Amino acid sequence: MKIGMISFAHMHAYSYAHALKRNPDAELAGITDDDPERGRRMAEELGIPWFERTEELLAASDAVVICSENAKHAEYTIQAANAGKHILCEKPISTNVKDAEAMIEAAERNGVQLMIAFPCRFSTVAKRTKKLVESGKLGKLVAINGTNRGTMPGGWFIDRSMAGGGAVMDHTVHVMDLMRWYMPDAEVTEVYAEVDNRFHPDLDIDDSGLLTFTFDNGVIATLDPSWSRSKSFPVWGDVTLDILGTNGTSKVDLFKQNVLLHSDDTMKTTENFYGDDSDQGLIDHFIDCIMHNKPVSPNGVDGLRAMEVALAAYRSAELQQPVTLRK
Amino acid sequence: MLKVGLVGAGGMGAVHAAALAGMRGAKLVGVVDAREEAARRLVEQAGVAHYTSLDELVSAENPNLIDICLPTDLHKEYAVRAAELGKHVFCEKPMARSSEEAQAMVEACRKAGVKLMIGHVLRFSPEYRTAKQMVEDGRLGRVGTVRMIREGAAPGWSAWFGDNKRSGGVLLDLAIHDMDWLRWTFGEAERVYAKLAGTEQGLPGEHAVVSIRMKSGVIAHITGSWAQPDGFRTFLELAGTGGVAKFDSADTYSIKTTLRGEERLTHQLESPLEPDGYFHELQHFIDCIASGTEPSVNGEDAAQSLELALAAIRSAETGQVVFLS
Repeated sequence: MKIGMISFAHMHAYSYAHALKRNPDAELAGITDDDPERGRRMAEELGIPWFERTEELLAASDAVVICSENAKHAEYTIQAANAGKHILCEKPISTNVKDAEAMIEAAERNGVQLMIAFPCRFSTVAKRTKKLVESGKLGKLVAINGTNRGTMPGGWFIDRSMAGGGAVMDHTVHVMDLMRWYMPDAEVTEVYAEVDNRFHPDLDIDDSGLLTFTFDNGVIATLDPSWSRSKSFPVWGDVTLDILGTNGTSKVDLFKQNVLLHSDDTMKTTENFYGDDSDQGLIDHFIDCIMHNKPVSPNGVDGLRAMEVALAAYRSAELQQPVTLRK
Repeated sequence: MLKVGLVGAGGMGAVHAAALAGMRGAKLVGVVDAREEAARRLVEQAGVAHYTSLDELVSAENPNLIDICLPTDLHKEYAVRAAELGKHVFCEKPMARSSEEAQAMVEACRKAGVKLMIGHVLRFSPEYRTAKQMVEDGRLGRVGTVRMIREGAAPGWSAWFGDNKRSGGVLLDLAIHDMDWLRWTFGEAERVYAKLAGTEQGLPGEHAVVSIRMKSGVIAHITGSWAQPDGFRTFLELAGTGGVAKFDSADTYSIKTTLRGEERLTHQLESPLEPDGYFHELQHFIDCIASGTEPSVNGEDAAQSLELALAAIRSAETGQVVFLS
C-alpha cells in the first residue's frame, strides 16, 4: 500500500512515518505540506518524494495520513475521499461538528475508510484493560476518573482558528475514546466542565479544565485534560484511568512503564518510557484494514463522538451549567 | 493541667485518648459512653472513670474541656450541652449534620464564652501542612489545578457511617477533609458540581467525584470513596505555573513488613509519625485554651467547610451546579 503524508504540522506525523517505514506492507509514497519548507525538509530526511500539490500526492497514493492543523482536517480528508483514497486523520477529527459530519459523509460516499488516530487504543496496557473490563471481573462499571495532562505545546495548538480550542480540545478526546471503547454501547449524555487558562494567563486559549460527565449506562466520569505539567516535570504528561466496578477497581497508567533517570547533565529527573509503541499498532491496524477491506476502529464516528464531548465542555463552562448531549 | 472529658469510646475516641496520654498541659479524666462494653477497654487502658452521661462526668470530674467523638448526628446535642455547662468544646469533624446544627453549636459556645474547635485533622497532618507551605512560599507559582483523593473500603467497623441520616455519607464524612484543606489553602469556593454512586449501583459503599471552582480560580477535583475493595489511600497533587507537587500515601510507606505465616504471607505497611496529626490538633486546642487564643479551626470556619460539603451533596442530588453565597 502506498501511503502519502499530508502535512507535518502535527508532530505525530514523524512517528507515524517511521511506523509506516517499519510496516512491511506499506510504502511511503511521499509528502505534501502547505508549509513547503517543512515538507521538503521532512521528505529529504525520510528519503521520500516531495509533492508541491496535494492532487499529485493523492495520485501517487492508495491512502493518506493527515497530520495538518485541526482546522484543515476536513478540507484534506474530503479531498482525499473524493479522490478515492483511504484516510488516517490525526485527532481531534476536526474543530466543529459540521466539518466532522462532512468528512464522515465524504468517506462513505466514496467508499473509502476514515480512521481517526487514537493511538491509546493500541497501547498494550489499554488493550489489556479492555480485556479486563470485558471479562466482567470488575463487575458492572460505575465510575471512571481519567487524566490526560500534558505540557503546553505552543505553535498552532494555541491558535484557536487552527486548533479549535486549547487543552480541552487537545486532551479530552484520547481518554473519551478509551472510555467509549471500553463501553461500546454507551454514549455521553451530560457534560459539566470548568475551563480556564490557569497556567498561562497570557494565552488567549484554555490550558486547564475539569470535565464531569455521565454516560447513558449510568457510569459517572471525570477527566482532567489540562496542560498542567511544568517544565520541570519528569515526563511530557500522562494518560490514566481509575476504573471502579461493582466487583473491584483497576487503576491504569498507560505510561507507568519507565526508567527514572536523575541526570547531572540536565539537573533534571526524567521518566524514560520503555513500554510498547502504540503508534506502530495504530499504523499496522490501518494498513491491515485498508488492505483486507476490514472496518477501521476507531472510525470517523468515534472521532466525532469524542470531539462532541470537548465541544460540550466549552459550552458548559460558558453557561456554568451542565449541558445535555443527545437524550 | 487542663482536664479533658471524652465523649464517645469508638474508633476516634480511642485515637484521641491515645493522643491525650502523651500531651503536655492536659490529661484525660473520664470517658462517657452509654455502651458500657465499648467503653470498658478504653477506660481500663487510660485508667480513668467511665460515665454514662455527660452531666454525670462534668459533675464528678469538673473538666475544662469536652472532646466529642460521637456519630455526627449527635455532635450538636453534646456540644451545646457542654457549652451550657461552661466547658470548652473540641468536636470531631464533620461539625454537624446540617447548617442549623452548626449554627446552634457556634451560638451556644459564643453565649457561654467557651472555645469551639472542630477536628479537621489535615490542617495538623505533616504532609498537608508541607503542601500548604509550598503554596504559601510560592514554590508552585500560581496554582491552577488541584487533585485530591481519599478512598478506602466501606467503614465496616461501625454501622452509623453507612446510615446517611447520621453520617451524611462519603461527601460529608470523608471528602469534607479535602474540602476543608482546599478552603484553608486557597480560600472560599465559588461553585461545586458533584456526582455520587452507592449501593443502588451495586457498590459496597458510596463513591463521589466533586468538581470545585474556588473564588481564586483554582480548579479542584476530589474523589471520596468508600467503594474500594480494601485499604485506605490519600492523594494530593498541585499543579502551578512554577511546578507540580504530589503526595500519594501509597508511595510513602517507610516500613513494609512481610511475614511467613501458617498458610499465607501477611503484609504490613507503615508510615509512622510520632506525634501524628491527632496529637497536634488536640495540643493546639489545649494551647489555645491555656493562652486564650482562637483555635485554627473554630466553629465559624468549620461551618463553611460543612456548607461546601452540603453543597456538593445538593449538587449530586439535583444534578445542578451549586453556587456558594
